[in-house]
Parts: sequence; C-alpha cells; structure tokens
Amino acid sequence: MNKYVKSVTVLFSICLVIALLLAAVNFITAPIIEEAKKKAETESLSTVLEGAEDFEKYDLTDGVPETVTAIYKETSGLGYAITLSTKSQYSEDNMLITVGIGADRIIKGIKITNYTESKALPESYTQSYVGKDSNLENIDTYAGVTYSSRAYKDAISDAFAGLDTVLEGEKEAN
Amino acid sequence: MKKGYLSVLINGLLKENPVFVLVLGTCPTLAMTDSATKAFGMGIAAAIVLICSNMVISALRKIIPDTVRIPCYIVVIAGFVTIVQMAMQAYMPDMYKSLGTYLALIVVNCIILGRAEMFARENGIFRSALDGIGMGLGFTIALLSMATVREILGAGSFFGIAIPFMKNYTIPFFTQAPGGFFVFGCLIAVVNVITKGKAIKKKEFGCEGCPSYAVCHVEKIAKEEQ
Repeated sequence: MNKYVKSVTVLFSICLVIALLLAAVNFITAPIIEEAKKKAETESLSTVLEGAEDFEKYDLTDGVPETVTAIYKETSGLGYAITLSTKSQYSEDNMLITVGIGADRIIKGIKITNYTESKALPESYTQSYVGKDSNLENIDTYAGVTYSSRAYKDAISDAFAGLDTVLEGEKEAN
Repeated sequence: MKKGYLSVLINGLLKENPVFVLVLGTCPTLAMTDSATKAFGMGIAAAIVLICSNMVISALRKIIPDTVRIPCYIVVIAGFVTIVQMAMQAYMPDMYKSLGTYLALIVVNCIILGRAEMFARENGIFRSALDGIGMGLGFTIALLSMATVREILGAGSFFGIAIPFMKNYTIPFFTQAPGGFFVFGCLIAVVNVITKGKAIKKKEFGCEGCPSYAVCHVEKIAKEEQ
C-alpha cells in the first residue's frame, strides 16, 4: 500500500511543480504572444484599408451572413475591414477574402488570403470591385471561373449586409 | 567504469551520435532538414529540452519510484517542451511557425526519453547535463549537415540565402521525402566509414540498447516465471 501511495504522491508532486512552472512562463509570454498576434492581424487588415492604424473587433450578432467571419472597425474612423470565408467550387478548402470598406461605404481594397481552386480568379477581376459601393454595379461573374466568381461576388455582398446588421445593432444599443 | 567528463560530452558528437549512429529521432530529422534554418531551430529546441530534462530527471532519480518513472519522465519532458514552445512563440514567432507541429512532437522524441532512461537515471546532475549538451549538439550537427546537403542541392540556397551559381542547377528531389532518406543513408554510411563501423558496440544495437529495455525485460521475466 505504502508503495502505491509513494508512487502517486511523487507523480502528483511532479505534475504540480510542472503546472506551476508552466503557469509562470505563460504569465510572462501570454501578453507578448497576444500583442504579436494583434500586430500581425492589424498588418494584414491594413493591406485592404490603407492608412489604418488599429482595429477593434465587433461581436457578430444574429442576422450576419454565415460567410462573414469577422468585422473590424478602424479606430480613427477610416472604415471597416471584414474577413469572409466562402465555398468556391471543387476545393474542400474555403476561399478566404479580406475586404476593406471605407466610412463612405466604398470598397477600398480586397485581398484573397486562401484560394485552392485549379483555375485562378484573375486579379483584374478581383480588383475591379475596388471603388464600388454595395450595389456592385457593372460587375458580373467571370467566364471560365463562373462558380468561384459568383461565390466571390456573393461574399462581397454579404460583407456589406453583415456590416449593416452590425452597425444597426450598435445604433440600437446606443 | 564511469567515463570521464570530456568523454561524456563528446560521445554524442560522433561515437554515439543520436541520429547517425543510434538512429533515433528519425522523424524530425527527415522532416526538418529541407532547410538549414528549420534544422538549426529544431536542433537547438531539442537540445534545450534534452539538457533541462536530463538535469531534472537526474536530480529526481532517487525520489522517483521505478513503477512510475516513465510517466514522470514524460511529464518533465512535456513541461520543458511546452516552455520552449511558449518562449519560441513569444520571441521567435517566425521560427515557431516554420517548425509547426514538430516542435510539440519533441515530447515523443526517442533521443530525449532514451537519454533519460539510459543515462540521466543512473548519473549525477553535472554528468547528465554534459550528456545533454553532447547529445543535443550531436543532434543539431546531424540535422545541420543533412540540411546543408539537401538545401544547397535541392533549393540552391543556404539558410534561405540564394547561392548565385547554384540557383539554375537545383535538384528538387533533395528537398522531397525520398531525397531526405537518400541523404540520411549516405551520411550514415559516411559516419560508418569514418568510425570504421566501430562507433558503437554491436550488442548495444540489441535489446540492451533500447530505451524500453528495462520495462520489456521485467515483463519478459515475469511471463517466463508464470
């Protein structure tokens, strides 16, 4: 019996000491990791909203389309950055898009961060959305990449819809 | 007879090199040697864990009961691996990303558990630290030498810096898995030639050389007695 008690005590004590050690290291490194993550996120969002310095993340409310994965507000009032995830066609990986919408509701920049379809969406097509508002006038699907371009267009429309929903919720809360 | 301090330290470099002689830690060796930067990062991370875990296990060797020694070793090793992971994520995020899941897999690296079982549990803290340094350096050198061959021939670069005259004559085979096995085999042969095949006594390749020998052996005797 004594043998078992000793084994359990020793193993428990080692686990306890290691857990305390990990907690101490986590206490030191967690803020640094968090800051680095935030910096990387801000840098990635700044590419679609030129001049952006810092972002605040909105809580996604009911009614925001499923395509919208996150909505960020630029703290100086420059506009919004929205990340989207949509099923394109054959690939199992979703197409990931980041879109920057100015405070004037005009698209300022778009970046595809993940695209694994065999046929690429031409940059001339993806960037033709820049400067458009929520009506996306004169923009159609792209021949040869019809499904993916439709998914792309729908996702951008969802970005506007999601932004409207979140802003309405914010207005009501205030 | 116990070996001298210098002998313990340099053992891991060539005579008992964990990769080319003991053939342990093959998984990270093959996966992380397509680039010298990754190989160096993995080598240093594993060496830090090896030194620290060797020292702690040696310090606790008289306290840890035999029946729970493997779980105790794993907890200690996993603790140090997590510390290295957190530190790397905070201060070397690029390296952390490039090592990916292989960093966490150091926990199950045979070299570390093997040295705990074969050396640290029978030797003092200082000798165990020296063994950790030697084996860690041996592992890093082995990874770097493999990565040097693979990156230069396969990608025409070294530590990510392009070598001008090599850039147009790369052989992508070397950066792929079969190229890894090929270079691994060639380097084992080179080490065998240098040491004339006497790097380690033949009997150590048998059951006695295995980190799980003690557990296995006890079970085998118990079965025979039944």
